Amino acid sequence: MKIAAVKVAVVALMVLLLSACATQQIGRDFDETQLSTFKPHETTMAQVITALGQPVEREASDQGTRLHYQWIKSGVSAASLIPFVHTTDQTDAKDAFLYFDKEGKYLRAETNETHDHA
Amino acid sequence: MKPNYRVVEADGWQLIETQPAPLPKRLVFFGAVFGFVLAFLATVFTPPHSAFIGAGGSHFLVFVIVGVPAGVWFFRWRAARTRRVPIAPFAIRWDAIRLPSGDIIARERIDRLVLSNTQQVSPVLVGGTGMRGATMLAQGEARERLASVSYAVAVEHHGGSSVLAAGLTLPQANALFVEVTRRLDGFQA
Repeated sequence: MKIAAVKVAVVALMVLLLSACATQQIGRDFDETQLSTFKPHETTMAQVITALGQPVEREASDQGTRLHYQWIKSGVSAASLIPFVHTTDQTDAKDAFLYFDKEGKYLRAETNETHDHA
Repeated sequence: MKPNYRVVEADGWQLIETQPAPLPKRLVFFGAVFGFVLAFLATVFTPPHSAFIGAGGSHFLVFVIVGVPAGVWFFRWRAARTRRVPIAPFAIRWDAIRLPSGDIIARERIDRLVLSNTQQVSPVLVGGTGMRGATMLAQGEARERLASVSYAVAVEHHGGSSVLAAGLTLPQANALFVEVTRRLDGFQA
């Protein structure tokens, strides 16, 4: 009876771990379609942060400020842990670098998006 | 929301004391699991009548009692090392920053202020099967949890970089970054 209970507990623990680990995210998701609404020399940094949320990286210098938005989502099926079972894993990543002048006005953005499937 | 830093005026400087974010509970749990697995392996590879424990002794129980706290300690130590939390607060004036080390950096010597994550944050395709896949998943999960409390604010000067505050969550780090740029001459908050 005790052994059976321990077995159930171990299996439950493994399921819990696997379900929790099936998807990993780094950074924060952001709406990249908002970028086209920003107007150079008009939109302020505060307005950009209100629209996109807080950036994961910032750099400020005499020349101005750069904000970096990043979101990486790596999805893997728990079934892929079973030997010889073929499953599809995928990683989606998107980056946006937004540049501002010394007065905190938006200048331009550089974006990058990748989709890896294995 | 409770502020994550305190500003104290002293001798013309504004001393900024930050409170690092606590480690996520899941990370500590992973440390305990790591210790448990080590205890299991130690039990498997210990001869049945080893003089280390004594005949008839419960190897597994002893290894768990030692291994689990050791695993938790190891994960905490590793996290503390990679989060790079300074041991002292920094101070700021409109024309200079005093680093946690006590060195003073004049405003004209400051190249950039940087908010970033002290963990390696780059796309990693997690995959594989069996034990290898599970290990990669656990490592990715631990890395993700640790990264969420590993944001830092640093200053670049004289071709190098000095951490002002670290071990912060993203909202905490952003608030501190704005605070520093607001108080330092010539930066846009």
